[in-house]
Formats: sequence, structure tokens, C-alpha cells
Amino acid sequence: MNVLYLVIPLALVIAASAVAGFVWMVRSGQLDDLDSPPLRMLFDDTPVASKNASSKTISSPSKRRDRSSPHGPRDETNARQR
Amino acid sequence: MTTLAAQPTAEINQRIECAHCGLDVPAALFNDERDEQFCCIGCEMAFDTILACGLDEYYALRDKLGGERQPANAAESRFTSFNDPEFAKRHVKGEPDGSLHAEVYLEGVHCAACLWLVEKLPEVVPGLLASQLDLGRRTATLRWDPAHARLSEVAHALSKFGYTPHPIEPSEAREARRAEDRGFLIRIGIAAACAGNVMLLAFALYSGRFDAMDHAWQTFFRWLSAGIGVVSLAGPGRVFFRGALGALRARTWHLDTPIAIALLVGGVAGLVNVVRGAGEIYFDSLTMLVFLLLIGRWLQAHQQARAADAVELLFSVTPRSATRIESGQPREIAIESVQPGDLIEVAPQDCIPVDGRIEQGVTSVDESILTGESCPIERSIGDDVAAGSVNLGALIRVRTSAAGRDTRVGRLMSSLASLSGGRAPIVGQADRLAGPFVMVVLALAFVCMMVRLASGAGLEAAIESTIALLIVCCPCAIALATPLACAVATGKLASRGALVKGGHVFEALARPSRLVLDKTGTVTEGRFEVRDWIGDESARPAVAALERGSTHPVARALSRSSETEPPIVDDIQHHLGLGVTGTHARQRYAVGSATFMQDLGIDTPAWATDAERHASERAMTPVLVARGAEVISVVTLGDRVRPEAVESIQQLRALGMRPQLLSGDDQRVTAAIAAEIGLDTHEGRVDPEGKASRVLEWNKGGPVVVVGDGVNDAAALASGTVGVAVHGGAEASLAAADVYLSKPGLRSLVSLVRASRATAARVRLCLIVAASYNATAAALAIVGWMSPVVAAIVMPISSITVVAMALGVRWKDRAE
Repeated sequence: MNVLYLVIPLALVIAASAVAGFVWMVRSGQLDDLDSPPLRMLFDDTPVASKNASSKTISSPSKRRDRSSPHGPRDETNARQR
Repeated sequence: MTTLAAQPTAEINQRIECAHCGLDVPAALFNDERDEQFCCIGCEMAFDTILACGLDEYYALRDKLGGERQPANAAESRFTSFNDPEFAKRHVKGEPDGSLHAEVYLEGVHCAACLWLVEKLPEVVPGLLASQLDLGRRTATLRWDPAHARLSEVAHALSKFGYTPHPIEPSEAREARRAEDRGFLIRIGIAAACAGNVMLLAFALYSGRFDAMDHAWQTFFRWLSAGIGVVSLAGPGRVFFRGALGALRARTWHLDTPIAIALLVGGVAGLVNVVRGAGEIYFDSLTMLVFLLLIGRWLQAHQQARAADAVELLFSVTPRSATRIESGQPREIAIESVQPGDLIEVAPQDCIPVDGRIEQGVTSVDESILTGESCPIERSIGDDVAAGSVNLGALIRVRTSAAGRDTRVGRLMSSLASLSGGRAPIVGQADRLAGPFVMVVLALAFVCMMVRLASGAGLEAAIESTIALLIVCCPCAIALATPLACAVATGKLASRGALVKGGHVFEALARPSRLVLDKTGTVTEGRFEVRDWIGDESARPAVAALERGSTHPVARALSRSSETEPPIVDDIQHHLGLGVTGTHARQRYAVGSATFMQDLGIDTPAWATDAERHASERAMTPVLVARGAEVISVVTLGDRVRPEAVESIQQLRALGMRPQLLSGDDQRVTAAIAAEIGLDTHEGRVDPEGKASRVLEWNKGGPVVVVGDGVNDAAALASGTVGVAVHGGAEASLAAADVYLSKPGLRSLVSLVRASRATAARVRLCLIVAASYNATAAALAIVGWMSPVVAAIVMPISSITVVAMALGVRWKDRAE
């Protein structure tokens, strides 16, 4: 039973290091946002389905300016690809 | 997928849902070339972008997670100013690996699926390494590789998804809140570790009682408990002693006072008992108490800080740039660089950034946010315009007389701090109760000591009973109930469109009080709209089409008034300041004032003259419509009462509020609106100072709740017991108010009052339960049945009961 004299203080040291870890986490801002992480875990880790469109859709604004007009020519192919 | 199988022919009455946001699709935007229909161009662009990037899981996710739906404001903007070296210096930071990162506020982020979409962005934007969204604050941290992407490209991509990025201005208040929140969490972490470990030791000690534990072990465990307990009291528990000392110095009572007494008495008694090796040591109860109290306080502070952050970050949306004319060429510059004497160009529909005088252009400006005036005011060359007003008409150039903090609005903003300092400090209910509470507990302790001694229990037993009483009477229930109930109500309200920044709001709104309502923008929509259409309404679409090309506020209101597809109108002629004529279906139409009709040689019949005069009496703008050579209808335009205002005001009245109207607008307009929403008490033509002084005066006779949106309301909002800024309010009013209603209309105000009632009632219930607990325990201690062990066990139970009760705050919103 005398081992308790060693084990209990050891347990307290472990607890103290856990607290130190927690303090570090808080200080480095990991707990600043408590709303998003619980939602993030609900998302699947699947990569984006269609790779072909990625670069041409988003990059340069000038190429796709025709779409800014409400009655301008409509790019039907993109929406129908699925 | 939410795509609707749209019919090839759109029937007017058939409801068609927007494929992106689910709102109704206006018939004018129906497009039979597409399967999907959209309520606006923004939604269409967001939808196409999402599909083209292969991110259509967004819609499935949104349906699964039950996110709120909002129309997207997607647009093709270049965001060239994001690449400016000045911008980079202010907002962009570098990483050791060569990548850059910046934090932006994303307008339009609203649900869990938005979180998914924003964080998927690195997969579709080349060069973007990471984007992390803080859903509560609506801020995203973007990290990108400068060799492969520029911030403007990332911003462009975001805006195409419907999230307009805005740079975030650094704020000391926000940093202070963040530091406070982190401090709270660290204290809670330490307190939790202490409480847990002492609890483990206490289990051994309690079970040792029945098992004849070895004395050496007992001493060892007791010393360990004492050591951890002292860490908890001196570390995270220090805040209570500090609060109590502060109150003592100020010679007032604070809720911390009785808590500090209980902690101190328990701690000292425990230490003494450890040293002398006999008696109860209390550290298990004390550490748990510190932990629970800190949790309660943090929850409240955290919710309020979130609300304050959300309101402050809204300011990021206001444009921080102006267009200066430099040697004849317009150039976009930061608002801070504008100097008096600069020539500033203001585009139609833009906010005027400076105080100054018009040098070029004729326009009408909307000053409602500054003065409460609901009618647009004509301004031409030589007239003064004020920062904060909106240019409704044409392009103007303004010679700056004052910029930044020196403008009227700027001066008002800087004087706000002193204004809110002038209001009577609100002593919270819990703090008010603290004084009598301490008195009663100390008196009971004295009685207990005397009774125990008189009954011949011996000094040691008497002291033990008294300490047990002091500990069991710790006001943890009071200290926990209020913050917890407030935190729950604040959190629930935030999702229902009311951001509460202060804890006193619930207490103040729970009592019946005077409710001072601003008119323009609060009970009315604050926009020029068509109120009545007297006479033949068949000309509505033609009139709307006729007025489409003009930027005049009357023309804009008229063109908005018809929802059907605009018919073709030829030969449109604008007659400046008078009206417009055009031909539709071979008939000539004329829209304008009575003088305009005279000029055209059209007779105005008597009924039309009557209608026109009647409108003018109610301070509304009449417009005559003529087809061929006769006047067929009279349209009156003015500010429209919000659709839900009448119902909301009735509900507020039923809740015991005494609503009244206080406006900076014309007396006649104010009276007309007051009559429309059923208010007897109203006053118009009150300047901002007058509003504030009236509110201060009323404040002496009881709580005053001020609701407003404009810069002219800011002083009054700061002076009232509770200031409520409504949706779309000016920055000054948001900064001055305690509550911000993030949804348009007064419904969330009703919800706020109901929530306050429910919260206050729940807190009262908690107090009654806690008080009866304490009374029973005190009685038991006095008759000597309350041993310290029982005290140590009963106290957490009472806390847990109260916590469970406080967390159950709920109320019914009939509207939802």
C-alpha cells in the first residue's frame, strides 16, 4: 500500500501537466471558437466531386463577365453536367 | 436536391421556390429556359458557382442540418483594393513558410452548411491553402500562397458563392473580450482539475469513515486535499475575494461578499482541522463551489461577448473607402486619407462619406438615419450634405468640409462614451439581495452558536455546527441562477434575432416600463413607398415601366410597386423636376405633379384634387397619373408602416409596456403614423439632444426602453435604461444600444420582452427554492442535526437543483 505515497503525487503531476496543456490550448486560441468545431465533425471528408470545373470556374473574373447580366447569355452546360 | 420541376408556363398564383434559398420567385424573373428558378441574380450566381465547382452537397447538408435559408448576395466584384499595399499592411500577416493569412468578415454566412462550403474553398481555389470559418462571429481566416493566388482572387471566389468578404478593423474592445474569455477558460480548467482531484480523495475519506481507515493514510489524504483546495481558492477562486474586497472598499454589497465569506470560513476551518488532525475539512465542497460558480459566470460572459462581437463586426460591412477626384480623375482611397478640401465623388445609392457642400450634380438625399426625416430631400449645387446620409439620385461631387471624426456623426460617436456614463448605474437584483443575505446569515450563525452553547453541546460542537451553517448557506444558488438563466436566454435570443450585450437587459425589461419608439426605420420601413393608389389601378404596370429608368426616389418607389413583367413603353421623356411621359399600347401616359398636368394641358378632376390635398395634409407625396387627356389615378407616396408593427405593439402593450412615438420627423407625419399604429402619445420634430434629455427625464420616474435606428437616436439609446437598436441601424446607434435586433421589424422586440419575463420568473423561482433549502439547513444546524458532512453533501445538491432549473428557461413566441 505504501506505493500510494508515490502514485498519488504522480497522478497529481499528470493532472497538472494536463492542466498545463489546457492552458496552452486556450492561450493559443484553439478554444476561441466553440460554435464551429462541433459542426465540423459532422461533415464527410470526401473530396470535391468534379475536378474539371475547378480552375475555370473560379479563377479569373474577366473571363466570365458575361454572366453578370441577368438576361445575358446563359451557360447551361455547367449547371447540367451532373 | 431542392430543384423544382418548373412548369413551362408560369402561373401567377403558383408559388415557385428559389432553387438556392427557397424564397418565392417573382414572376418577372421567371426564366423558362432553365429547370431551376431563382429569386434574384445573386442566388442564381451562387447556385451556378456551387454546382460548377461540384459542391452541390451543400444543399443536401443544409437540408440535413436544418440550416436557416437566406438569399445569397453573390456578385462579380474585383476586390482590387484587397491587393493594395496599404490594405496588406493593415490586414495581411505573413507566416514563416512564406504563406500569407488574413481575417475577413463574411457577409451572408448563416448556417452549418455555409461552414462546410467556406471550408471547402481551398479545393476549388488554386493557391488557397486553408480557410477556417468562425460561424458565431462570421469571420474566416484565409491562408494562401502568394506565388499562386492573390487575396483579391480569393475574395472574388467567396463573393461568387454569396459571401461578400469585408476587411475587419482591429478593435481593442474585441481583444479585451477575447482576453477575458480566455482568462475565464483557464480559471475554469484549473478549478475543474482541483475539484475533480479533491473529489477523488474525498471519496476515499468518506468511505474510510465506515472502514476504519488507517490514521496515517487519513492524514496524508487530508493534507493532499488541503493543498489542492488552497490552490483552487488562491488561484481561480481569487476573483471572488477580489470582488468582495472591491465592494468592501466601495462600501457596498456585492454578490461576491457572501461567497467570499463562505470560502474564507470554510478554507480557514478546513486548514485548522487538517493541522489539528480532527474535524471536517470542507475542501471537496469548496473546490466544487468555485468550479460551478465560474462556469455560471463564464457562460453569461461568453454569450454576451459573442453578441457584442457580432454587433461590432457588423461595422466591417460599412464601406471604408471614398472616391477622390485627383486632377480630374476619380481614385478610390481609404476613408482615413480624406482631408478637408478634397473633392469627393458619390455614386447614386452610396452613402455620403464626408460633411461638405455639393459642387456638381443635382440629387435627392435620404437623411433619415441622421434626422428621422422620412422624405428624401432635394439637394443641388451649393447645398450642404452630411456624412451618413444616402445619395438617392444622381452622381454628385462634394467639396469636403469635415471628414472622419470631425463630421457631425463622428463627433457624436466620440461623445457616446460620456453619454452612457451619465446613466444611473443599474444594481443587479442579485447584488441588491447580497446585503440583506449576508446580514441574515451572520445573524443565523450567531443564533446557532448561542443555541448550541445554551443546549450544552460544548464549544467545539457549537463551532462545528456554526461553520456547517455558514457553508450550507453560501448563496451559490443566487450566484448561479442569474448568470445561467441569462446565458440561456441570450443564446436562445441570438438565434431569434436579438443580440443582447448586457446582463441587466433581462431584469430591466421584465418590469413594465415606458417604451419609446423611433418612427422612421423602426415602426416604418424608412423607405419611400407607394401607400395608396386612388382611382384606376390598371395603369400600374405601365407606370412602373415608365419610371424604371429614373433614379428619383418617387420613380424608384413607383417602379417597385408593380410585380408583373414590365410592359413595353416607348417614347419616354423625362421632364426634370416635374414628371415623365411615354407611350404604351398607343396611349400616352403622363406621371407627375398637378402643375405638370397643367403644363401638358390635362384637366385635373375635382376628386383628384381632393385626394391630392388629402395626401398633402398627411404629409405624403401625391403623384398624378394621366392616360390620354384625363387623370385616371392619384398615387400617394410616403413611408410605410411595417406590416407587423400594429400586432407587435398590441402584444407589447399586453406585456405591460407603455409605447409612445418620439420622432425627429415632421409633427404631422408623426401624428399620422401614430394614429395608424394606434398610439396616443407621440411627439415629432425632436432633435437628438431633445430625445436624450426627455429620456433622462423619464428615467427618473421608472425604467425607459428606447428603440431606434438612427444616428439621431444614439444619445437617447445610451440614456435609456435599455437601448434597443433595430435592424439596419446606423453604426452610432448600434454602438450605443444594449440590444441589437438582427432581423427587421419589431417581432424580435416582443420576443425579447417575453424572454426577459421568462428569465426573471425563472430566476425568482430558483431563488425561492434556494432560500427554502438554506432555511431548512439553517434550522437543522441550529438544532444540531446538521453535521459538517451533511452540509458538504447537501450544498452541491442544492446547486445542482438550481442549475437544472435555470437551464430550463423557455418561452413561447407566438409568431414562430
